[in-house]
Amino acid sequence: MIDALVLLVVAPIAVLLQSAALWGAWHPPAWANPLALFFLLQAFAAAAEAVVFRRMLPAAQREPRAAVLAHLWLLSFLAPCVGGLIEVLVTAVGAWMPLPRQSRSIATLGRPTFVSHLVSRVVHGAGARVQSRLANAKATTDDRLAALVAIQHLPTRTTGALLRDLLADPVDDLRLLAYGRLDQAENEIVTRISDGRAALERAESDEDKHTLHRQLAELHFELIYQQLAYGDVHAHTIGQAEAHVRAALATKDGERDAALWLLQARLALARSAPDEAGPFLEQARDLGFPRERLLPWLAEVAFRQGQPAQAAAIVGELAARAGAPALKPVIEYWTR
Amino acid sequence: MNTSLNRRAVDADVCLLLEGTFPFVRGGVSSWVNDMIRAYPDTRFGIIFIGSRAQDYPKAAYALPENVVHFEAHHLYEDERADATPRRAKRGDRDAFAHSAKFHQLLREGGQREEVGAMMVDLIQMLTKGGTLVEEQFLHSREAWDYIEEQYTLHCTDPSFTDYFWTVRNMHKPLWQLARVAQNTLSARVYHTVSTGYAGYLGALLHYRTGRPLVVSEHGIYTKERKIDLLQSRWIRDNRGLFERDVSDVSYFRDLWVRFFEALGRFAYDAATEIVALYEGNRLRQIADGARAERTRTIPNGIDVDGLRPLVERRDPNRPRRVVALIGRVVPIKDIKTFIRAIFVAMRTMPDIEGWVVGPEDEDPGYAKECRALAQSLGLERNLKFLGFQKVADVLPKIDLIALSSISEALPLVVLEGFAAGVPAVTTDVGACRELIEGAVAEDRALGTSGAVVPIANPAALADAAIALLTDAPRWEAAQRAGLERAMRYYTRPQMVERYRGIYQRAASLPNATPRDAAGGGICPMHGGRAGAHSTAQPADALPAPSGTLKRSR
Repeated sequence: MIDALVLLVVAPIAVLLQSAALWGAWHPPAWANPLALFFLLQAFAAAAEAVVFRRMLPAAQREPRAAVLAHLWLLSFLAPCVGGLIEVLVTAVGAWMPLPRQSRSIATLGRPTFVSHLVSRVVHGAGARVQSRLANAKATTDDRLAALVAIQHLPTRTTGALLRDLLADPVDDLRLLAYGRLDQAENEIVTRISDGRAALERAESDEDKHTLHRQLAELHFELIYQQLAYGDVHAHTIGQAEAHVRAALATKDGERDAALWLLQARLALARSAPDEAGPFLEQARDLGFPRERLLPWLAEVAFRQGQPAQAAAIVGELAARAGAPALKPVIEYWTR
Repeated sequence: MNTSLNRRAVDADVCLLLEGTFPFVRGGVSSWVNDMIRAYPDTRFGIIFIGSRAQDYPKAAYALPENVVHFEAHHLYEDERADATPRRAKRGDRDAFAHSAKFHQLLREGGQREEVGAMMVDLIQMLTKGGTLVEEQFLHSREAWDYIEEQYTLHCTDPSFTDYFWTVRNMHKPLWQLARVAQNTLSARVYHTVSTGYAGYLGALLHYRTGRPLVVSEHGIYTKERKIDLLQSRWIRDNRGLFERDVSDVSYFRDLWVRFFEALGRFAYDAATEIVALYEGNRLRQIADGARAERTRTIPNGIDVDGLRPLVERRDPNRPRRVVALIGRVVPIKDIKTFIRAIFVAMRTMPDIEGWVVGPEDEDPGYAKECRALAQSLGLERNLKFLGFQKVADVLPKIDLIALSSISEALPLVVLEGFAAGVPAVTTDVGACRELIEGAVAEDRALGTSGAVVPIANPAALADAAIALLTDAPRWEAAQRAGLERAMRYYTRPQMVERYRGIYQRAASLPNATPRDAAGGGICPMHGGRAGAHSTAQPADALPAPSGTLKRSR
């Protein structure tokens, strides 16, 4: 409505001014400098045309108003009659034939950069204190909450026991937050198990079945490894994982999957059956699983079978092969 | 009967401010609101419902009672068009933003209630139509941009200005909508909010605008629940780099959101004439969150004991006790999974045990699906049933034990209803559950335990407690007697209704306060002057309980 009114009122004025400017350029009055008169009238005509042409632009391109008006005025001033019109036509073509969406997608912003002034607010080395702050029932609730939030990103494998202890904390907020963390970690795995089961029901080829059974066995084992299953549910979860391992082994060429035999050995160790784990580890080795990667479990089997000398010998072998840094304290203990 | 939500009136006796509950969502709070409205058939109620998006509340779960004369719903987070026409920048009012800066500084420093209240009265004028700090000014003015930029430089410990800008913008946007609601809604003699948060903030606005009293009654503690949600949410970003991060600090935006809801809670508490908690633990929490002790009181939930007692007779005394039911919505806060695991554990000792999950599954279908998948993976097809929503009176005579595995509760009605119908309960140690099971005061405790209390998220403990009660007949019968007696003595609906009637009558009889008075300037007839010492003791002039009601110790 406003657009129509503006066009009705201002457009005739623009036409008149533009005509006057052009007519004045060819038929200048005797009393005036022809060039100065033309520029003056053209400036007024361009202003009126800018108002009209701006109203003809799509709504999204009309702002910022001052800049758009200035742009249109300049075009109309420098190219009488056609300057602003070209702009409107170009915009119309752009609106009718937009570029593919991907090519005009919003640019990705880079990660925020390092801000030096924040460094002064940082207390370095605080991470080491976080767990002790959390366990200290005499610390303020806010302090303990902050500590709990800080350890949220650590793997549940390392924080599981602490979080489980907090479920019985007298402070409601801590209990709820600890529960939330454990629940979230469990949900992530359980959702994948649920998806895996659905995929297994649809699977037809032996290869797909093997892959899915193996994946499900690993996911169930993850629940145990992350200390998210305990009590009777722990035993049940091991049972489920073992059932999937057996099903994966039963598929065509499934028995040749060395990693499955290792998983079965770890499951046997999880239910305290080292005598069963030993042969599984040997089977994995026979199928080509690197012996040096089996050494920690072989040592554990020997230890659980009550053969400390054998365990020490295997750990010694591990030391000779420069095991992972995390194993260093164990190696030192057993080879002293 | 008029079941429509389309009710309009210019005034009401009591205006209820409800956030995300009645009449759209089933649950303890909604059921309580429904009962309360029906308990005062001569009182004309108005309802202002606040929700996130209209699509989240497609259908009313409760029919509005006849005495609800007005209903309006507002949604704070409706989707907006991404390609909306850009607005023209405005200059903005520098003084208005200076006022806002002073107000925020006062909140940051934990300023005097009277000062905060007085500034809020000014701000309300500025926020509403014709004011100098209307939504348009906040969203599209140059002054707003400069103000946000300055605040970022002064206070933000996160390096991302982009995230800061949008966090501040999204956080504050609903406040203008609520200011418009407060400006245009019906007038009432008493405003009653059933939570703090946005509903509480709206209550504070209405109190300061109209001078009429505000009553805050909370089932859970809104600020606490929001805080837990925010602390474990993943949508809040922390952009600090490795060397900028102090691991012992909560990220700035997380903290900002927590403080925002704490401030909303404070507004509601400061404006309230009466602040009601369901049990002592929550009352102390309200005080810790900024409520004045002398305005707080506890009113436990009450149930229709007389209506439920006949169900005791409908129980079959010869039936073996083996049915454990969890009655409640299938949502994460009820921790249904722990209940399912408990049935799995109990099944090892008691193979014929039956677990029933009785409650609607439509609030969080994803979670309901996870629960069913868990039951299936544990091989509980025979021992666990999902019965969906059922009438409590139909279910209670058929069950032998109520299980409540919630990770958070206030004072669960379902446990009381079970007691009245002769069903003991095993609950987690949350909210007032221990008081319900073991008794609150010496006289109450003397009645004996009406079940068992176990730690949260501990299926083995829940299973052991359930089996111990189901297999020990004398113990089960003693728990039944204790529960029945406890419900009759302390948790009847008439007791609760009488106490709220007192609150409503007292509030309704107060004269109108001018906005300045309402801000707590010392002469407010409702608030009776400035606060005294910050004591946690209940007021001496607590509303008198009707005869025959035992006074509960705090």
